[in-house]
Amino acid sequence: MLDKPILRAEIIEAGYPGYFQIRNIRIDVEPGELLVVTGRSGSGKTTLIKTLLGIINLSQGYYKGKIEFLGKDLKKHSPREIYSKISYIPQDPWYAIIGHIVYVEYCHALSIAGKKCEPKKLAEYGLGDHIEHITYGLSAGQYQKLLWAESFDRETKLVVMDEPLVYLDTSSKNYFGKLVAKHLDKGGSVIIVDHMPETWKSLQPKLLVLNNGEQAYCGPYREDVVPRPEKPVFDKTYSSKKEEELVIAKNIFFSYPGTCDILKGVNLMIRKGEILGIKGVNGAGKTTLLKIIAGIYKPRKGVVIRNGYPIYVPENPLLYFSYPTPYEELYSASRDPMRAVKEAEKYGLKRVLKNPLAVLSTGEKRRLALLAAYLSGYDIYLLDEPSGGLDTYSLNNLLEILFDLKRKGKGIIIASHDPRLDEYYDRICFLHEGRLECH
Amino acid sequence: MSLIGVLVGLVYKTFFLMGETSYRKTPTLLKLLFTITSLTVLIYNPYTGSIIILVLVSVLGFLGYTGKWVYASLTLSSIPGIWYALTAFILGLAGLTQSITLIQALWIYIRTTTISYLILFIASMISPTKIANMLLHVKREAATTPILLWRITPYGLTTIMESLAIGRLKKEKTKTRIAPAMASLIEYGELVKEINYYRLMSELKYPIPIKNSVKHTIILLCGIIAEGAFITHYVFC
Repeated sequence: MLDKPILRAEIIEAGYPGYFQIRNIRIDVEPGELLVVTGRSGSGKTTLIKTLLGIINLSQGYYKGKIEFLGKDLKKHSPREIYSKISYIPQDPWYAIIGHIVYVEYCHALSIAGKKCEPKKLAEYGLGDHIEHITYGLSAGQYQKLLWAESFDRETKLVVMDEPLVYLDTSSKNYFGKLVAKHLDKGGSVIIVDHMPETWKSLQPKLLVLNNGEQAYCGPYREDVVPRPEKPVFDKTYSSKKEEELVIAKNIFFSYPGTCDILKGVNLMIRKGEILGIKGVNGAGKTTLLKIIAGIYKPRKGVVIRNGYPIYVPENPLLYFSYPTPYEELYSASRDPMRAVKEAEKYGLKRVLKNPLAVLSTGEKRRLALLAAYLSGYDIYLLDEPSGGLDTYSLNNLLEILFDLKRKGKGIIIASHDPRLDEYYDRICFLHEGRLECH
Repeated sequence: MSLIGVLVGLVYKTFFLMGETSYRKTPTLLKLLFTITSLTVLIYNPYTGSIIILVLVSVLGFLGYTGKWVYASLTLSSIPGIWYALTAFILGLAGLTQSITLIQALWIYIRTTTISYLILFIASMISPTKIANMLLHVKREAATTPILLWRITPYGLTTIMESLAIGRLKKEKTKTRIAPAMASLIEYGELVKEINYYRLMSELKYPIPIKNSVKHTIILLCGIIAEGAFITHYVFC
């Protein structure tokens, strides 16, 4: 290790006035070092990342303290210098895309960093078939792949990633894990925010644990300092003897204009009180299938029969909301102010009830969308990556909601890459090359 | 689907369904030539010319884009066509303007629709990448603008469509859903600005590679030749 750290931060206080602050955080990131930041949802991880990158003030935030990058105050670097030396992959990857076409986005990023691009290189990142694809038609996983591609091909000294594996399929996770190792070997540094820090254990990272905006631990990786609740036990039974079918999808074909069929004769059925998981590689059509079942998209061929009211909760939870604050959203869903507050308390959202949605963390937004959908009492729940960015505590909240819905005889279909959910599915279906196989 | 949802969908399909493909990958001079010849056809013979342009743009649309593009663009351009034809006819009937026959109203519809349809076709040929590369030589700091515009506009439209669709599932009225849809757009803009701050504050160094499509260049050239033949026939015969 060299004496001079790539990044040195002494944060006295940072955050959003009147809403949330992080305090007393000291970090050194050496060349070739991996820093994994973890902590419960809403503990300040993303606020910390935005502070370290010097962008917190752009969203009415502030910080007091000192941040040095390559031995110089971060503010004294030019934007171009920072962009060519620091990559950032945010938790919601769609916000980091500027180009309208996949290769234009990639080449634009490299060009700004002073590098010429070779679009064919995108194939190495699993985007070979999407080089000329419009970026606003990509899946969340494909967005993440694209950001990984441009971040690593820019060969920046520091790569900062916020939950960078959430939307990736298993094979991509393995591939990108190796990319991080390669980057560290070359002397680059990486900061990763992850609710599952054990993913990076083999790379011997430094671990930073945040708790309520404060530094709870900073040092070598240790299992015992990672906040982890007891594994919950759920009553998985649905009492009704009737096995009524809630959704029957027959021979579904679907294609986006100008493209081949993404779904080719998909058949699917879900009964009352059933939790069905849909898995598949990035871009396989999981979200498309959920939207067809919800009635948002019409299939080119085939039919969907729904015996009840469906609701679709998207991977970007912001699109679900109808009101500016969590309280109004929950009140509108439950029509009972007491219940809105009680449920918010139960699911760890009481603290943010009156806050504007804009200052909620992604995990909080996701829990809120699910809770509001739950309180509204639909029959068929179509959930897109519902556990993305949720810590194990929040995951338990999600599972509580799911099993309560199950007990009430609702049907739940989940599209997700999260392996933590696998054991809770009644059935798992795999979407592969447009066809669905269920087990 | 609500009227707003339908309109948003039509605009999306007309301008943003295709990527940097088809006629966007034809030489800029050829696009300019097509624009000039099309306008000349319309000026020389507003009636027959309108029919020719209507058919030609539909053929080019089918060959270069998709049937969905033709349908969406024709529907969208029919809106001003219907508006002008109906107002001219009704105001005439009411005695507020010179009265017109149904046939004249139909011609107003055809000509207005043709002009709108042509404008949509020409606009759909604009390549943001080529504009960005041109700006790189003229006004380097503005080079990111066209590609950013072509990213955030369709993304915004899909956001609105998805938000309205979720609103329908939540049994909300379209008008009550407009505000949250707009709020998520504002939020999107804020986050794009924040996350890409350093990138947006820096300048492009190299042009973004783009190759012309021989197939679409030939198709567009055929369209220009057809228009040229009509102009020649009209002028000399």
